[in-house]
Amino acid sequence: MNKKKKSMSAIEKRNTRNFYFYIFPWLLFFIVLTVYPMIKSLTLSFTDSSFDGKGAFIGFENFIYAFTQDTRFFQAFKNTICYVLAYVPLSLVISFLLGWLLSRHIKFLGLWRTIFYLPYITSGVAVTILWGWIFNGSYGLINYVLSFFGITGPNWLGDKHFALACIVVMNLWALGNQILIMLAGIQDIPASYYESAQIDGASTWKQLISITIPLSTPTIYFNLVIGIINAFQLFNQPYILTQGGPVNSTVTVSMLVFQNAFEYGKMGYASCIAWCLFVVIMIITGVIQTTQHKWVFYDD
Amino acid sequence: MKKQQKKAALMCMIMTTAALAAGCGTSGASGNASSSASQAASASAEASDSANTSAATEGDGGTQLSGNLNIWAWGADDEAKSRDAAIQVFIKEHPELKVDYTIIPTANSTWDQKASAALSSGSAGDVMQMSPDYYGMNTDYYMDLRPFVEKEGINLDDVLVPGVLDGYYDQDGKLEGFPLLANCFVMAYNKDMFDAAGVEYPKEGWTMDDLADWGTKFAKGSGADQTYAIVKHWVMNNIMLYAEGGTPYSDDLKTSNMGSENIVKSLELYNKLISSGVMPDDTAQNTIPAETLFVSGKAAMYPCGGFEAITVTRDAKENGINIGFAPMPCDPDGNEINIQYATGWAITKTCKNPDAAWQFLKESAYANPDMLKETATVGMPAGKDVADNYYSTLTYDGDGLDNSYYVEHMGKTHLNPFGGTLSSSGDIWSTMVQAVTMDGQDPQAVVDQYAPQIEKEFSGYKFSSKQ
Repeated sequence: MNKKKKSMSAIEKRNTRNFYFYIFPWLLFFIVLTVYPMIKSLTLSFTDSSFDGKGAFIGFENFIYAFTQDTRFFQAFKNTICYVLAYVPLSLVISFLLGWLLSRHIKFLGLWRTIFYLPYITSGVAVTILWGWIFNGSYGLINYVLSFFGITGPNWLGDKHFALACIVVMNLWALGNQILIMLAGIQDIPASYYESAQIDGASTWKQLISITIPLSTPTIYFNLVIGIINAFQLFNQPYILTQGGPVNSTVTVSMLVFQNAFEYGKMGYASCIAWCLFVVIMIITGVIQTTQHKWVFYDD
Repeated sequence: MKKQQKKAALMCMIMTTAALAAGCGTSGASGNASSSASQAASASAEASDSANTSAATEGDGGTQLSGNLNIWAWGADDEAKSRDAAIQVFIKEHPELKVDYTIIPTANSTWDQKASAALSSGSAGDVMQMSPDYYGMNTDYYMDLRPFVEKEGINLDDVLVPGVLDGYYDQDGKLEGFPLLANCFVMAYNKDMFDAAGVEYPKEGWTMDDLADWGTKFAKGSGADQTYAIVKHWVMNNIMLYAEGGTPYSDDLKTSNMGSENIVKSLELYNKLISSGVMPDDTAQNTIPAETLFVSGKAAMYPCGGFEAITVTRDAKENGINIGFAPMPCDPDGNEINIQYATGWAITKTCKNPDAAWQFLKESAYANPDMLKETATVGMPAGKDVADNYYSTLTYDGDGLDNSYYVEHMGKTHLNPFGGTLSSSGDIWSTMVQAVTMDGQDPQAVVDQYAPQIEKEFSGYKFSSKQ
């Protein structure tokens, strides 16, 4: 009986063989370009390696230095976490609301969908530079508009209290992909639920709270995890706009990794910071994963 | 039919895998080349082929030259054109060599990333562009050039501009690079703005403290109409280090002086210049390129490097702006504050054709006037003869600038203080500047907070291969 269970049919054997055959190229590059660099990076984090990747084993010295002496390390984590805490919830709320609005029968629906998706496909660097102009304290559009109301706007990107907030706003502008995912999730909710609710006299608001939001939680969950991972890797905008300034108020962990690796030649220390970031992301993702059964509702 | 489909699918898979593998293998160099003139930089296999097929000829030093030579250079715009033209001259004059080269931009650390990856993996070029202001960075990968110089039997003082070679010696005496060119700065000024403000043109001996006084006459308007006395060129952070007579560190690079009273004074002066509108702050300057601010008549002065003199003077002329030129400011002791950015070549230890590489270095530095003339479009060439008799005679649009200025003032310069190995300290200095000029912190408190961090950085630096 057992023997019979273990034996595979010719079709199964062929399928298995094909599976490994087709997955091989991807697996090869995954191992070479992801697994190996990760292992290498982990070993580097315990060395004082410079550009050449060769260095003496120094145990936990890099980690001790990061946690006890490097003030920028804590500043970068503080900035990154502040960014995540501000950006992720706002992006979820805005993308959900816009996705919900775009799922409704409104005029010029196609036009609205295009408009909201357009920023996502615009060149990131160009958009960042454009926002730099908008936020400029002397020539910027925002302060120009404020001047009509007799308000002298601050030097947005030059003020350490506003600079990070500006980057949050800038990134909230390009939520097209999240909106699209939310829209797809909302449209996947069976129309019969809404029809039943309407028969029972539920208002639009009630339908939103009791049907749309609960049944969109798998989509929200997906966007939450991806959003957190992406937000923790924030790099381009502060690198282009502020170079981490003013006074390190926009320096992020990814920037710190980049600077130490490619500007200062401290590959060992950069790997150490990268692994700290990885651990933080893994912990947060793990917490979300283990608690998701309490708030994510699947329609099966 | 099904068999044919299977065969076709299998072929596609194999071709895709091969293409991916090939793409991965070559991305280190040719895939990243930016210059239209750049060529693929894979080399080792081709080197042996070429060595067998090309005719061997004799170099100036009596060495038989043949085979491949792989060169990695950096540059963009005019700099890339100059580099390209000079290498083309070399190629034309050495048909016995198969020269491959790639020109990579330096912006956003592109060069640093690619060069460091290639050097550490042993796939770098035979010849790599480098700079003495990298302060020993990558020194382990470069050959000591002293044996080549000794074999050449030439007195370098006779053929090189005085001082251009000094920075290429490591702390342990190793000659890790050979000069190509050097650049320093001249202060370009908008004569129309000075005339309108009723301010005398800057003359030799002027100081940044002077600027804080008369510069306010240029600080006018608001928004898009705002004007400044001077742009916040990226070199200004370095200029300001020396503005009150300070120096960032000791000559032997062992001790940081960033906690000194001179640095506190420099920060106070910097803050005065920015808060009074004489100079834009970092954010204002980041939005509009400094050069644009100057050539559009929004700033009265611009520290103009030799590498950008052609562009700046041309753009100013096109915009109908009359410009003049003055020496760079002096410190309170009357010493000119000027910063030198120098560029040279190194031969890697993995070089497969050292004799050809040295021939290239030698011709780039002094032995090939045509190559030096191409280099002269973006800076003072290292070769004495071409620097004195050709480069120094080149003139620019505007009143009173020819390249003799750069030749004369090169000896009064400080080498870029925070390049390469020292860049982490430079970033802390930038943070100090921002803390004072943008966050309104007390200069003394800022120095007290950050100077120990710079000292800590200095204690971790390694400047030579022996350390």
